[in-house]
Order: sequence, then C-alpha cells, then structure tokens
Amino acid sequence: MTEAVLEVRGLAKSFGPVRAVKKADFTVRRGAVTTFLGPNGAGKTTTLRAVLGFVAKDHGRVEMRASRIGYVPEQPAFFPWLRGLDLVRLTARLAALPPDELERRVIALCPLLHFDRGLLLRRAAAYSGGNRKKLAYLLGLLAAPDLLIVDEPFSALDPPAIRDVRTLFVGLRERGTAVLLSTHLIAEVERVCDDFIVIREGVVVAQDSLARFLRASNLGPEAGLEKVFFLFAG
Amino acid sequence: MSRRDWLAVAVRLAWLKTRAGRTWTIAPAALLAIVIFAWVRDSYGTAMKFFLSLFPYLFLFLGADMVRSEAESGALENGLFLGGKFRAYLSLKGPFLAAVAAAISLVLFAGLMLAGLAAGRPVLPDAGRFGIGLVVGAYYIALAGLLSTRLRAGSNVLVVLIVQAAAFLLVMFTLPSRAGLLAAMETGVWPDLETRLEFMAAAALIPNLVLTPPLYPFSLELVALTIVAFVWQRAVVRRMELGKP
Repeated sequence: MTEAVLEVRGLAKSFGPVRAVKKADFTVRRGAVTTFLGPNGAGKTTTLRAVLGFVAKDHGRVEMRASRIGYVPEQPAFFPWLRGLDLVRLTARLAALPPDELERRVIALCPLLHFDRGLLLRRAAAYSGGNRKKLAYLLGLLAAPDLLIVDEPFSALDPPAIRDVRTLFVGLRERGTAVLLSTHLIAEVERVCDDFIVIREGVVVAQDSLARFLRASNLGPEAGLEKVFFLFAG
Repeated sequence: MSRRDWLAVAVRLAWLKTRAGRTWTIAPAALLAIVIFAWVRDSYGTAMKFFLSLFPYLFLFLGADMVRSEAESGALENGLFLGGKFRAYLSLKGPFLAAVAAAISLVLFAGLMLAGLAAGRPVLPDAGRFGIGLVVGAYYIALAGLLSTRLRAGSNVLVVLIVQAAAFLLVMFTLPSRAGLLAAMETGVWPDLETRLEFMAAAALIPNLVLTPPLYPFSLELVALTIVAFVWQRAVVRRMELGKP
C-alpha cells in the first residue's frame, strides 16, 4: 500500500446530545482517489470538518502528513468584501507562489474548471452557486496540494464542469496527489474511485481498495460502487 | 506555510474588511466635523475637549461585528484557515483594529496639537489626556470583541451605547443623591471608598468619565478590565467552532 497522507483513528464528535461521529477510522493514501460514502446525516461532513480543524474533535487522533492541503466545501461561502482576485492572491501568498507562477496556474486552471477569469475582479460572494464552487476548486488547487479534500464534489456544477472535474481528479491522482471526495452521488465518482470508505450512523464501517474488495467479495469484479455502498450502508 | 506569511495574510484580510466597512473614514470625518464646529463656534480649547472626550468612540465603532457573524458565515471554512487558524485570525482582529484606531486618532490629535502649538497653547496636559483616551479606546475594542463572541453584526456596539445611555439617564434621574460623586469627579478628591467604588462601576460602563477631568489612577482600572476582556475573548474563541450553533 502506498504512503498514507492522512490517518484518522477513533475520531468522535458530538454536538450537545447529538453524536454526529461516533468512531471514524480510516486512511487516505497518496496517488489515490478515495471516496467517502454515506447516507445523508451519516457524519461525512462533520468528519471532514473535524479533520480540517473547523470543529474540535471530542476524541481520536488525526495524523495529517500532507504539507499542502486543498479544501473545497460543499457550499462555498466568501466574505462579501473580497473579490475573487483577493482570495487568489491571499491563497498564493500562503503557498509562497511567485506572481508569474500564480498567473500561470490561474491561466491553466480556469479553463479546466470552466471558470471565467474575468469574474475574479468581482466580489466572490455575489457569484452564482456554480461559480462559487469553481472558485473554491481554483483556490483549493492553486497551491498544488498533496491532499485535496472535496465535500460533495459535483454539487452546483453543470454537466461539462462535472465531466472535466472528474478528469481533473484523474490527473491529480497521476501526479501523486491524494484526493478525498465526500459524496452520496455514487454514480458520479464510480469511474474515478480507487478506495472507498463507508460511514453509517457516525461509524466508519468499511474501508478498502475498490478493486481488491470486489475481487475478494462474492459481489464479483463487475459489481459497482453502488453495490458496495448498499452492502455496508444498507 | 510560515507563521510570518500566515500573519501577513491575516492582517491583510482584517485590513480589507476594515477598508470595505467605511467606518474607518466616516467616523473620523464625523469627529473632525464636530471638532471644527466647536472651534469655529467657541474656541480651540473647546474643540480639543470635544476631541479628547469623543475620539475613544472611534475604537468602539471600528470594533463592530468582529467575531460571531464571521464564524457563522461559512467564509472562514476556507483553505486559509485550516487547522483551527480561524481562531488566531479572530483573536488578531482586536489588536489590529486597536492599532488602526490609534493611528487615526494620533493623526487627528497631531493636527490639533500643531494648531495649538501655533496658537501658543500648552500641549502637555492634552497629551496626557490623549494617553488616557487611548486606554479608554483599547477598553472599548476589548469590550466590543468580547460582546461580539455572542452578538451578531454591529449589535455589540449598539449594546454598549444603549447601556451608556441608560446609565447616563440613571445618573440624571438620581442626581440629588449623587452630589458627592459628582463633586469628587470634578475635584479628584474622593471622600470615601464607597464613592470610589461607585465611580469605578460607572467608569466600567462609561469609560470616557475618566477623561474629563483626567483621572489618571482610574485609568489603571480600565487597563485591568481591558486585559480581562481580551483574555476572556481569547478563551471563548479558543473553544469556538465554525458554523451556526
């Protein structure tokens, strides 16, 4: 198995009396697209937010071995006083990107994401939902991350953007980037998925390589991710 | 990512918000208009009195909407704030805004002082009162920051102003029974501990009271309250999580 860039052990998180995540154990490996599956309310987003430090975990260990992390939230929100360009510049400053390299990356990424570069001069909070998502992808990818975490990767995107974002994930995998996708849209991620994690009622109930699992299980190699999901998530 | 790079980004972000808010230009312009009006209608001395009594409110107005609205907006769930860095950003805003307000106040005060020097006025007492005013301003920022961990948008500033108005009315309606306090405030001679404590309580609500006449010892109370408010706010922010509760 290739090197793990993220290792989570015994993660738990409650909001008052609600135990959103009871026990999450999983690893995300370099150069693989890992799909984090679960029904609505299973604890996917809370797990990601705890891993990223947006909420404090109650228990458990998060070992982050990636030095550059990109994050694309399900519904990106931006400060109303910032233009897209301000966010791009701030992100580039954090990644220590020189201006010419920044420009090169923006020029390369915008067409891939079907994102109109002219929008960068406008306030990001005023973008449509789809363009906010595309800007979040642009910001997440600017620093050439070792680990890209995406919550609901295709929400708000139009079909051409969905197709090209899927191609983007394949390209990232080939460059050795770890990609963690949290979704319940199984059909959309099936073609790019290497590993899967299934969470159910706050507990990670399965993690494996999709190909290896299908070979070893009685589902057969032709069975898809959907069958795996229903096997574990019911 | 170095700590220095992150700090530069956080300061830049705080500045972009301050700049977009317009309070940093409107509030000083309004203060300047009041000071010029007092100068034209009365005298330089009155203008300086108005300035020294009112400039700490620049700190208060700049302290509107510091923490909670941003934590709930979703805008901090961003690659810039991974690993809990949003907490450091929210904690940094108070000192940053205090520095901005102090810089604006200093520019205005320097202008007035130069005008005073040209008119041959002694400026040293005014400089002392300006120093206490900065302490009052820092207290306002700390108080506004602490309140904004609970209150959304600019309601932290509104609450301070409403409490001050209520405290002022209370004093006005109970004026006969507070003659001792008022006399002590005017002369700086405190007859007993009770009067001192009464004034300290009033100064916690209306800190500008220590400015006219300058009551230097009581500014220490404000320094202590400022430290308490900053430490308290920091403790609340350290436990803070993003998203609506």
